[in-house]
Amino acid sequence: MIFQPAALALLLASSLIALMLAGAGVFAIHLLRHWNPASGSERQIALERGTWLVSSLVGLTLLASLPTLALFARTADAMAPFFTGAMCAVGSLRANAWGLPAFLVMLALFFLAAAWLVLNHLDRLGWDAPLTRRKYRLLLALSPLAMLQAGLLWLYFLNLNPEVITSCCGSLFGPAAGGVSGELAALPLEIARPLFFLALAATLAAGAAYLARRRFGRAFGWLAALNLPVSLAAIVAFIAPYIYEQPNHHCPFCLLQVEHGHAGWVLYPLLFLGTAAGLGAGLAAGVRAGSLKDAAPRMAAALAGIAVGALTAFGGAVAVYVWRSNLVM
Amino acid sequence: MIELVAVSKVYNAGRPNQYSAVRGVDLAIEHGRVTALRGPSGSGKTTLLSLIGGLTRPSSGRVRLDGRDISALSERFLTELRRATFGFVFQQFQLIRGLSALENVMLPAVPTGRPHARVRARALELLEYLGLAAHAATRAQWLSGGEAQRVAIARALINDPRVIIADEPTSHLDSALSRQILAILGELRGQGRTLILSSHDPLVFESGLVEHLVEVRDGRLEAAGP
Repeated sequence: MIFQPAALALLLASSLIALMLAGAGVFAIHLLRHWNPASGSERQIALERGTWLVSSLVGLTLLASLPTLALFARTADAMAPFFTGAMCAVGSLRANAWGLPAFLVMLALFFLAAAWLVLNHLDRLGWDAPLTRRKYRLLLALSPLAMLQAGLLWLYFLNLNPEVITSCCGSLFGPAAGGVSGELAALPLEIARPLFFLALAATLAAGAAYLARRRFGRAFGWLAALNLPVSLAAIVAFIAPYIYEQPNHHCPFCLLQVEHGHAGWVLYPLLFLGTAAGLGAGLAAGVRAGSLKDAAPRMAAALAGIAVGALTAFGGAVAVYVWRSNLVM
Repeated sequence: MIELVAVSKVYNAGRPNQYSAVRGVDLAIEHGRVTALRGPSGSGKTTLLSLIGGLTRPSSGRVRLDGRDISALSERFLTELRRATFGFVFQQFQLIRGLSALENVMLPAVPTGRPHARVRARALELLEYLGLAAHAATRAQWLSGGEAQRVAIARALINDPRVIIADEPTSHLDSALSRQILAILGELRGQGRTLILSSHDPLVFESGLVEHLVEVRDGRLEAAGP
């Protein structure tokens, strides 16, 4: 165990989130079994009261949980000097078997939490709370994920041993590394670059179409979701090498470091914000409840605006990094 | 139409001092009429009025306003609806000491965001209509019972509600003042508002004001008049 304030904060936060979502998950099961708005039974009225309280608590918890992803990445990066062989967050995360899974679960939880927050906000805008069932179904997916995240973080931090020799990012994100990360690093520029700009352009076009004509809202949500792995793949395949100005350095985590101008802290927040807002816009645009007929498109448009803005800035930042690079590929 | 469907209200549920104030009440109240709940003290009249006006939520059952279930509304929507639809005249007046009659009348309009000057003008208009223009600046604690009751009525009207709920509107007044208040309530009825009263004062029922009489005892409806 490495006693770092950030590590302790992460353990405490993830445990509290897991505890809160576990309780909310039990309530969600009860609600999904018995929810019947047509009934005036004592149980239904108790559920109605319960859902306002639980939704508020879960909403606050998930909102507070969003920054933990950034904190974990920052902590992993800061811990790299403690491990022999580690050059960045990848080395820290690979210091035992739990780091990378914890990071991936946290990533999934980030986007699911964002989707839940959008559903919850919309539900509260309708006088008849029309999305109650839907948001509690999603909560049932969030609860085990939050517990898994807390479990993995505890396993990861408790089993960190500075004596262990870990491997640097080159062994994971190198063209010869094999696996998904190696395949991504080996992706030819002729494929990766057009694919990246095509996915981004299609996402932005759908977003713009929704903003202009209130059409293709759901498609925008799907495209924003699809754009995320494509963009992450592009970062590994060609954006990172351009920033490092080294054709064989593909690590997406070294971008967080000061030596590379903290480029990761520019790219990832924009990409993640754009993706989360795009997903939320798609969700809101797909809502057909009568009591939300004005509020849902309004919220979808607001989120689409944020998503288009963030993804445009992300694309612009990528273009600037590539243009300013001295690397010729 | 205001409908109560199988409405019950239990206070302190599951505790030794559990008390059922309202038990399985079904009631329909038409708009534009004067409905009175009559019954002895402790019969559940005030709780029923609170349930109808959305001040209290039922333990079971539903309250509907024009077909819309208001008992399931979240606090945000219920507050908006209550503010726009109902005006309350409480048994103990519930005026705020230290504030003038005018300020008390203006108070429910503050959250609506209407311009202050317009609210003030409307409050003065109401005080004048109720014969209290000279008392606009008088602090609530210095008003007599009849004056306080009329200020409470003016306050109930400031947001121009469709429904006035008055709990024992004559209980603290002598006969002359009671008749005056009943005359004012009759005028409100004449303006097309719905009036829902609770009372056990014979003066109220002899006045001819009540069009729909509901007898309440032990939290249940005994019989309903026309």
